[in-house]
Amino acid sequence: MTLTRVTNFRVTQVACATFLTGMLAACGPAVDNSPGVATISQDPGRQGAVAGVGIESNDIQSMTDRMMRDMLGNPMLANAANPPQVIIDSEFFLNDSTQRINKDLITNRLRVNLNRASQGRMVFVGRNYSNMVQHERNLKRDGVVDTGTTGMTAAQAGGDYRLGGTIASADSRDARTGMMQRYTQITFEMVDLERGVIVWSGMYELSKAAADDVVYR
Amino acid sequence: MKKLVLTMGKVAAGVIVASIMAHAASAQNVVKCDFRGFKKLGPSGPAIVSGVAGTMTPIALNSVQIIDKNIAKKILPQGVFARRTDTGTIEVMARLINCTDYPQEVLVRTSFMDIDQFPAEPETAWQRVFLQPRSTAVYREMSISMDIGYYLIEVDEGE
Repeated sequence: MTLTRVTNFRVTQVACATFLTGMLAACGPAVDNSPGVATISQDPGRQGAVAGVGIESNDIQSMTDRMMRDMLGNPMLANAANPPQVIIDSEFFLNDSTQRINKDLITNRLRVNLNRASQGRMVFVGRNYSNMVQHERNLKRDGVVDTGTTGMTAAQAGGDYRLGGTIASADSRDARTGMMQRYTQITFEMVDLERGVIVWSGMYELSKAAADDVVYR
Repeated sequence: MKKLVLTMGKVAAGVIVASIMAHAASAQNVVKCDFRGFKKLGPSGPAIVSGVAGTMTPIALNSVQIIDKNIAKKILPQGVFARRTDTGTIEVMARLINCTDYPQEVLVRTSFMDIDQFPAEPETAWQRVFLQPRSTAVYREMSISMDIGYYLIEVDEGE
């Protein structure tokens, strides 16, 4: 009886030692050292390696490029005797779609490219910098700093026109296949800030379908 | 009575057939594309030519260039036009035909050049154009600068 107990104890010890050795061995050389996917530099104007049903870099480039060219072909905006003062930012550019997106990606690209291309045909008011401008104006008027070289004005520039717009979407999903479809509609409008009339409109539409599980952040 | 019904039926059927035939006669035939003329078409104007003769095919300017072989026998440019807008910029338009029986998708962009063939502005962003089977689609683009001498429209296969 005692002999059997001792034998069983030794068998258990050997089994545990074997198990622990095996576990340690498994932890060592079994690490996955595969290189993964190397970084890919992509053309932002073309569809990237990770693509879903929402607005992507190529869509942003395409829509802003089209809107910019269309605005520069509008005589009211680009051929006025006095270049109009316009405000282009995301303040009144609303995202009502199901996609999370930084609206500045659209409005900043539109403003920067339009400013570079217009060459004085339009004047851009940086309303988002108004606090910074007011601070400097106060310093000048308090005599803390000199008046600079470009002179002083009675007030900051007011806007003649301001960009407004909406990103909207309609989603649908096939429960059987898991396929997702999204129609996205982006509207751009330039509003007369005195009379409230819309002097220019543009629209960009896209419809995409996919079954890939891409997440937009 | 039976004869009368049969006669009326025959008359009605005849009217319907005549109507269909008349409709078919007025409709246009399905679009057929002949690529031979387009392939033989040489450079239509000043072209970019390599410094070493014969090392590259000249690219005709003020034209449409299909840059992907996969769609070279599917998409046919039917016409290219340009005009000046009210603000002095240039608007170009290309009419493309889908010569296949399937929907096609292409990406199109334009390079605007000045009179010396230097780039007048960055090339436009790729615009996606959808073409239904055996039908046409129009691609339009506007320049941002006013002193445009030449342009080149490039058509690539849609991803």
